[in-house]
Amino acid sequence: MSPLGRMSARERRLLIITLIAAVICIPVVIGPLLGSQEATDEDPDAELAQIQSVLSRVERQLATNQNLREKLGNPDAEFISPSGVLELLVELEQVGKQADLKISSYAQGIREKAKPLPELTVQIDYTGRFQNVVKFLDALEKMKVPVYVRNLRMTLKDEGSGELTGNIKITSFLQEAPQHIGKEKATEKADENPAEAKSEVPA
Amino acid sequence: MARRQTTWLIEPAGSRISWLCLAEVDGRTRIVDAGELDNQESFADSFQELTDRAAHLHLRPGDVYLLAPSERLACRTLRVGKLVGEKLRQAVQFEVSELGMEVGEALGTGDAALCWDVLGEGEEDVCWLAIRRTDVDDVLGALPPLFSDVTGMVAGIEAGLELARLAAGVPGSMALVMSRKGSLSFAIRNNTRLVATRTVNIHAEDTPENRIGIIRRELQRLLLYTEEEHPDLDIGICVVAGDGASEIAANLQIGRMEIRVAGKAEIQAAAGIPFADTVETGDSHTELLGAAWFLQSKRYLPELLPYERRIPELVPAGVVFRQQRKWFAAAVFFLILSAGIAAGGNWMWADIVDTRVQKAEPLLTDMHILKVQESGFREILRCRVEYADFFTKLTDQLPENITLQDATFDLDGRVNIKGKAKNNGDAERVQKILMETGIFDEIKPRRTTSENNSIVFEMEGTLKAGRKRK
Repeated sequence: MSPLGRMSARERRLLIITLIAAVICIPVVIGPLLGSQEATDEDPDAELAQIQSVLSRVERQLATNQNLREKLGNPDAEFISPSGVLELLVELEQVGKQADLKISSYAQGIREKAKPLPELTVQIDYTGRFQNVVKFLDALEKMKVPVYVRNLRMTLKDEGSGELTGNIKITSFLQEAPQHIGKEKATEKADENPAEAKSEVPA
Repeated sequence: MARRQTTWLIEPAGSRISWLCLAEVDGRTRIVDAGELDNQESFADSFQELTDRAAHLHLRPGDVYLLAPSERLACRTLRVGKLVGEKLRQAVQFEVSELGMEVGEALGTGDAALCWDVLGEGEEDVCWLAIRRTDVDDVLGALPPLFSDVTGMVAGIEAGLELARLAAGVPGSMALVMSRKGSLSFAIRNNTRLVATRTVNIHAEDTPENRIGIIRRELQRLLLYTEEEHPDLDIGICVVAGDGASEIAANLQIGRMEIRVAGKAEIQAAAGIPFADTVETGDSHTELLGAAWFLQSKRYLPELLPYERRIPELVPAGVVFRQQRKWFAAAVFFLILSAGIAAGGNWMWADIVDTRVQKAEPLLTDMHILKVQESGFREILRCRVEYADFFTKLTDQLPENITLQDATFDLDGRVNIKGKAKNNGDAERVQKILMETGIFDEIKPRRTTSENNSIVFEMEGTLKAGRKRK
């Protein structure tokens, strides 16, 4: 006698109910899952591969930019944002003081349509000895805000004292920091040394 | 007349046997013969008479089920904690062997072998029923050839109890008094099944009053035992069935217990098996009808044949169902597990992808910013003239008699340098030194004028960085 034949009516009923429940439940439970996956993501593997590719490109880009910062003379080099022009002036003032150069005026201008980024130009009128000017020029190359000297004029004011007068026109670029990466970096720094992070805020 | 395939249920009790014979009639199972024989001489003689009767009626035994004599049955409750299968068998075997030793000691025959089976597998408490192997062998040995091929020896007490309960309309727990000509059986049922049973012999000369006294005493004894084993069980109804049920019920009073009668007609109706014309059952057929009802509905009847005589493919339905229930449980478990893994995996996967997409989206924007930043850095490096280095070198190399008076370095335009030297030769040296610094594309003299024993030279040129910028 087959196992089915030995089953009572109650058991056969139970078996039929189980099978019907299974037939109904499997598509009901698994169907929407498959459906939702199709709706949101046709090929998750491809999408993940794409994301991984983006991540590795970002990693490479970060490494490239860091390498360029080293070449620029400051591993923390960062462009200022359009609203942070005063940051540059503050830094220039500090550099001038350290080089013992008398800066009589600053004049800045922004060229929005410059390539590759909006351009900020600051003209500094100065008076000082030759060594001080050289010291100032050296310090400019190591500033956190990367700059280059566009125009340098130096005139011997008094041959006896060796005092020079002139002006320096420097140029930098304006750029908003990358939001995601920038925040992470800032957070990491704050975690490492909260006091240092605070001191970076211009007085 | 052709012989019909039949199923026989036979209940031997002393020299007396009762039977039911079931056969297919018009596509439906009916009771085609029933009766009771008491040859007084011997059990074997009664069977011989049954053989003659079967031949006369052209009834060929197909399946033969013997009901184990109730008065020989032992019934115990055992707390096993939901054991099943082999573990349950081992636990019960231990208990049964103890009983076997007790019986053997009482009889002075050494350990008595017992055949047994269990009700309530998988429950906290099980009920096991046992009968001495010698009692089984006695019955089997006395069977005439026509009935010797026994399909099973079953305990019909639970089936009788269930049938009486249905007939009396009791919903849950109850006590049963089943009266036969030579014995009285008592059984207790909880909400689901038999939990205790006991059978005592009575003598023909016992008066009805004596019988009532025996019933009251034995039932109370069984109730006391049940109360000890199942303190939560509340028995409020007692059903009386079998010979003289109405008379017993009318005279029986046990505390506040309600007494009900399961009469012959109600029992027959509850069994739901139609009778062939001219066939009638007696009051003592309750267990037989119950067993027939259980077999028809494939409910489990405790099997008491020795293992070597059991027919594997005819294991009672309840055993089969228990095995299949396990299979169903395993199948349902794996179905749920598979669905759970599939669903969980999908959710996890979707979550991982979603999280990564959310993290990667701002990176795409940042990627563009970083690219532009790189261009800015490169532009600064391209345009930067390292003036500090240039002036340091110049200071080291220029002769002391040369003074630079004015200098303009314009990245977008030209370079103009004005200085004072002793002679044109010195001016030429200045030009050479300037070119050697490497920051100029070209440097050439523009004008030289004499002034108080010295010359004033003017030079012009362009920066390499300025050319790169263009």
